[in-house]
Amino acid sequence: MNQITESSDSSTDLTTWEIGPYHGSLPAPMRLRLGLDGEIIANCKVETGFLHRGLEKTCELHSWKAVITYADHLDPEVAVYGELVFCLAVEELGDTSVPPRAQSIRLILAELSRLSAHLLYMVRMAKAVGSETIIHYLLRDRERILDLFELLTGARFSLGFLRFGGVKADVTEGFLERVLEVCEMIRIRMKEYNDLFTFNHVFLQRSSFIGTMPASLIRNCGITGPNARASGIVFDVRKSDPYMGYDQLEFEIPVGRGEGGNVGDVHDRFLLRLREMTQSMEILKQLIEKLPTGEFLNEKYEKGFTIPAGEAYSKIESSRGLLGCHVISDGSEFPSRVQFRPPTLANLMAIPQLLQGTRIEDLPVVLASLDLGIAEADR
Amino acid sequence: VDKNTLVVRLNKIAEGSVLDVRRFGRSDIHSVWIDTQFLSTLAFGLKKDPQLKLDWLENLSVVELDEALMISYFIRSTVTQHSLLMRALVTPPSPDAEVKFPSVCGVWPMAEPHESEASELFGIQFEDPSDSISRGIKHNFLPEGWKGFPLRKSYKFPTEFYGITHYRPFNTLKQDKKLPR
Repeated sequence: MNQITESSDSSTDLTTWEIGPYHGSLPAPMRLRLGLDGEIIANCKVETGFLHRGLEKTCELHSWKAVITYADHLDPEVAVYGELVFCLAVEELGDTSVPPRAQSIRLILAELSRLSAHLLYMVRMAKAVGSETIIHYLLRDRERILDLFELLTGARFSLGFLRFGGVKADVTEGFLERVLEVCEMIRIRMKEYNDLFTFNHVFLQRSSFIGTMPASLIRNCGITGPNARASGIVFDVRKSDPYMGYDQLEFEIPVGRGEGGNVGDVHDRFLLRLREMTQSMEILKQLIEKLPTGEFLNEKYEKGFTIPAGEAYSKIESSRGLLGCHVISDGSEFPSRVQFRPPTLANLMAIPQLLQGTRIEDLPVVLASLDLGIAEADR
Repeated sequence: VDKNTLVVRLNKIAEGSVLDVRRFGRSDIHSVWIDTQFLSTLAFGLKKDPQLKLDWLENLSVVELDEALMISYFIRSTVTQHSLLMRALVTPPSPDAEVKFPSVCGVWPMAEPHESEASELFGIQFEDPSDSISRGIKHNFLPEGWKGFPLRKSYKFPTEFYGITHYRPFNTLKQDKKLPR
């Protein structure tokens, strides 16, 4: 595990660098073995697994309901996606209906999580280029979203709010109004972010024309989500396989245009997430305007139920891409198998090719731009 | 693509490769059980088939069923939007032994991290005759010296590891099946 692999390239004398698993330039625990030709990265190998918690095995050892909490830990930054994808799979397995109000509440949480995740992404990008001021502004605004989570669920992280057949509770008093307030605040602040950071010439210099992901690399690695869309690939599970009523909502799928440099470069990936935030706010407004009345939980499934033997596969669009969940039941009180398909696995696979030819000083920026969720990849 | 057309097309790619075709859960997707020896031929054929063009391996999932390991390939076309679930079984010689299985990395490169995971956690050694696996990514899920394959059903949790004692109460909970609903 600790053995350093020497470069197989005998034509030049490469310096071998080993970074990680814990290092300031890395967005998450992982180890990079770099072969350097001067300041240029000639080859790279990635080692992950440092955050492995045995999550899928743990899911097999706990009751169906308890697994919701573990699914929530799939990616602590965006807890609701793990819960949602697992609940969708179990509901398909049990042929469970979800009341329309519960569907909308779930989507409100999902889109708020997307906003929160993209703000955190911007924080990591700002940290990678050394822009301290914007980090404080972004974290200040993200706190407002965490306040909303607390108002609705009682928790700021690890929400544990979804149930089979709905959600744990109805919206609290004043929650919807505050969601709209926060959306309006972020809409105004977006201009501030853009003036201070997005189109700041220093950030443009650090992020344009580097880490370009061609469409062929995206297809070979199976990359989905904002990273794929930034490279011009129009694929979003919310449109291709709509779930929880996304087909009833009007929103656009932004695609990379290469405004700052190349299509699919670091700056394009950053800009795309800003555009996605605008779309998420539009979705939130529509959800709140059209929030159906009625039950928030299918009571039938709360009062004792069994999951029939069988299997199901669900997929959602998380903030990082396609998140899948394959669930198998043998009819007992415990899942026979819970397998997650995290989007970050594909992003990790792209790193060796993506970093080839990159200058060493661009490494933190390129890695931060990929939005790696190592917690979900390592499970 | 309906069931009969699918079977005809698959048998055209590799005669006698299809063992069974079922519906996957409550979905409309076909679950095709295949003979493992035809896996590589079928994978290549499905990707090149002008009608199906199944060019994207969306997910690879493994589960142990009655001492056999079931490998499920969730395949999708980015062109035609067709989806298919392809399945194969492999039985390890003993519960603790590794087993060899053909890799599909040569056809769907995105299978690499999934196969790497399954290799470590299920003890399946994926072999690629074309040697097209880049191995640019390596998982270290298990510490050095860890014995067994944790995601197999027969796996027994160690009671100690390098002198550190482990106590896992949920093992007994699951065996008793006394959890309140």
